[in-house]
Amino acid sequence: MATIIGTGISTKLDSFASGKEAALNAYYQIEKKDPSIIITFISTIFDQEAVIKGIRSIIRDAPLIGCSSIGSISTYGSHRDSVAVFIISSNSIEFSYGIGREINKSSRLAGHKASIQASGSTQSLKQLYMMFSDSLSGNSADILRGAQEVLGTSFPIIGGGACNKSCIEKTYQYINGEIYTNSIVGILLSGGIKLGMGQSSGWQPIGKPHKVTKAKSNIIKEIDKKIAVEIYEDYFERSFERLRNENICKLGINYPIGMCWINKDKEYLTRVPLTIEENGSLILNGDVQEDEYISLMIGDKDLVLESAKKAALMAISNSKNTKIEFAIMFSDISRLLLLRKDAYKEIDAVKKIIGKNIPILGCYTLGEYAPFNVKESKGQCHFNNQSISIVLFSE
Amino acid sequence: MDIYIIISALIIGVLFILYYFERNRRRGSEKLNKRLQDIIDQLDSQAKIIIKTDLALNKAQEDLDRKITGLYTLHELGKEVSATFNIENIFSLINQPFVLKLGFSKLLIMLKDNLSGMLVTKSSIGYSDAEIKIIELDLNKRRFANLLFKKEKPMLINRDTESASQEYDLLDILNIESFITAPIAVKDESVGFILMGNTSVYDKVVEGDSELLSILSSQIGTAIENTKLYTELFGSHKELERRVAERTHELEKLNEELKKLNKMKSDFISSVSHELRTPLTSIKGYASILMTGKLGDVLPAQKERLEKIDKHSNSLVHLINNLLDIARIESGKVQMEMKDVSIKEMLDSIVDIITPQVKEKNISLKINSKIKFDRIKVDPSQIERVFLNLLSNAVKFTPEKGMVIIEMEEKNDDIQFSIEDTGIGIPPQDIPKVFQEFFRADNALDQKIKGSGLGLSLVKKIIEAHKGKIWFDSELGKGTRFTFTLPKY
Repeated sequence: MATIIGTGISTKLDSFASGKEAALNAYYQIEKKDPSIIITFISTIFDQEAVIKGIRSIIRDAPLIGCSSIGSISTYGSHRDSVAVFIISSNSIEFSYGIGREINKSSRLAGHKASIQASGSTQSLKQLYMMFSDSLSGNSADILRGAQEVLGTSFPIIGGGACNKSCIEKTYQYINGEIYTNSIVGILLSGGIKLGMGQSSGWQPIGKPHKVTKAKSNIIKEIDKKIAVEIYEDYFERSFERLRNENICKLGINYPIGMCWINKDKEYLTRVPLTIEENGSLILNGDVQEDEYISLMIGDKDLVLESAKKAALMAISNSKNTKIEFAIMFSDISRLLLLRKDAYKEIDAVKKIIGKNIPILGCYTLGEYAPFNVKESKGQCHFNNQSISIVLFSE
Repeated sequence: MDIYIIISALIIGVLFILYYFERNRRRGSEKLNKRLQDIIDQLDSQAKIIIKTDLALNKAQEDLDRKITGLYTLHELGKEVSATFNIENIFSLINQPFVLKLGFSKLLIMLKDNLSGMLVTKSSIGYSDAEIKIIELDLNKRRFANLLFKKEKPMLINRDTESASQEYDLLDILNIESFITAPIAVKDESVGFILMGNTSVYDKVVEGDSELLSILSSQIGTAIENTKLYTELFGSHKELERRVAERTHELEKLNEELKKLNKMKSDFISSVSHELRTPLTSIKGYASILMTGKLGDVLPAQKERLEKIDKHSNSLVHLINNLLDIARIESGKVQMEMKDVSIKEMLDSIVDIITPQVKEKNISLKINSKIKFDRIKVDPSQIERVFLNLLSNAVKFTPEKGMVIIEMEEKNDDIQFSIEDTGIGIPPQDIPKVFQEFFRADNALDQKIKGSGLGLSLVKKIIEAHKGKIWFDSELGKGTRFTFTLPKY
């Protein structure tokens, strides 16, 4: 086998020990072969530096990249409050990486810089770009645009926003063992690999459509010629003050704003409100166009599981009967919060379709980068929320 | 002209009809739009009800999840706590991941110092060392102990609740938006408190957290109590160990002394016996010569005295020989000359020797043998002495018409012999001394019967030199049973 993946998950409450245990398990699984790259997802309940030190106590030199997350996704299921270490050893995939910082100042520039850095050194055929960004600062759709300026608008990009338990704490991005925040880190995968990708959300609109009457980038100022926040005040019967105090992001993760991209697949692009400005404008984690019709969205366990199957089937269909070696999967934090103890069912649904022994690596994200696979999108990558995205690798 | 008027009237008529129909159509469309808008608004209202229900369901599930996670985390902590008896280790288990998993960002555990009575921080999460110093100073200076040590249910404070100014002051001192605190009690006495809270206005501490904090504070209280008990117990155990070691050392020293003394005693007995034997031989020799009458006639009275000298000399020689044997065996100077012998033959010759005494007292002597293989490897002369000693004792202390039984059976790699009599038995107070040298039981019969008090001591030494064991059971007035084992090979 040209590519092997070792998976280590730890839920020990000692940060260093947790990093060490996860790294050791993953290292044993690749039979102590030379690691090409370490991808790690660490819950913010841990001391991030101590966990990285724990991982480095087992594997010193291999490049280490990843982000903070509320939980990990692997062949072993869904693990909240965990340290996940995935070690990839491959002689057919080349990994190169980059970082863009201060996304709050210019998200597009940061996305651009990271992908230039990642694609600069590689000589092989570029195949897939995976990026993790700070979901609580900047505009994720702009980060994606920055990356697409370098790699092309039809280049496959996956990944998502680093997250944590709440929407107000910092998120972290890791590159080469260093811990950053307010940044985007990206890995470019090149070489002789074939990909099959799929994405689906399952969230559906509730209530009547509304028109965005005033917006700029990721800030909606007015909806139906009224102050934007009123849409949440109205549906949730909560005052402006209460919505600000209770953290709109926490509410928005479950009830985001969806853009009525009417299509036969009934897929919607969704946006999560991160904060409410003093004047009642909503700051979203992706941009919205003026004059666009939007709806409040709602999720349901069955719809979520159905969409997981749909994404897996789409990925299988795009793999065109090749032998799948491993899979990367990102699922939105809202899906975990909705499924709760049934989160394993989402992974099981995917495994049932792609094969139960296929190694899976991934995590829960706040927003996902993936090709929005509906006719109107023509396979172009978008930044979406509430979705599951799956990439299947074959050689 | 009329035609023009008619055409104009017709046009006006048509226009009027058209206007009439258009007005009706518009009215119909407006009605329809209004109806559609009403339906949309109605659906939107229903959507609000669905959202309200969904929110309530999510909130209930979230609360349940928080409780389950909290209880599971406490259970995990409980397992770790019960495995350690070091109080500092217990506090180190309440670390950042633990606190964050329970849904808090700040933690403070303070205990009262036994000597100064001041609050001292034992564990903190979310505060720098400098912040902790300031908090300690503030809390001790402004006497918050009464508030924090309250024994009722946990106290929940946030900036929205109506609270006394002292409680608001705490929020400022701790630089926190909300907190929950509970006293840590050891044997019903508050010794400190645990406080957990959040800095975010979005993530306030809720009523449901009081249950978790109660369990945690009680876990810590029990752990402190257990640690104290363990420390005390460990201290006593160490003291006991020290005393035992000290006493063992003393005993070892005494034992060494005893060994030295014993060797000195053996050497002394050995040399004295040698010194005694030479003149005794001369006395015995001269007495024999005198008795022969070669040195002149011997009067009957003189002969009687000479015979007594000879008899007592023999007893003395016998005693000295026994003493010499004990001393030799103890010092390891005597090597057992091991030979493969027939048990039956050995016993027959012993019984021959003892038979006259048995007959004299009309005692019945029985031999019960349960052995299949009639061979044993022993020093026959020494083992004969063992049997003779035990049998002659049995006969000596058994009244007339009594019974003496010799039994033998195989026990694994040994042969077990026993000699049982229906004699006077040994008084309980004498039982521990039976194998001591020169011991004679304190009873009238024993005083009458002659003996050196060395026989059983010698028997024990001979059996131990054969790697065997000897013991006895005795009941006063009923009899005694001596049992010994000898290895077969």
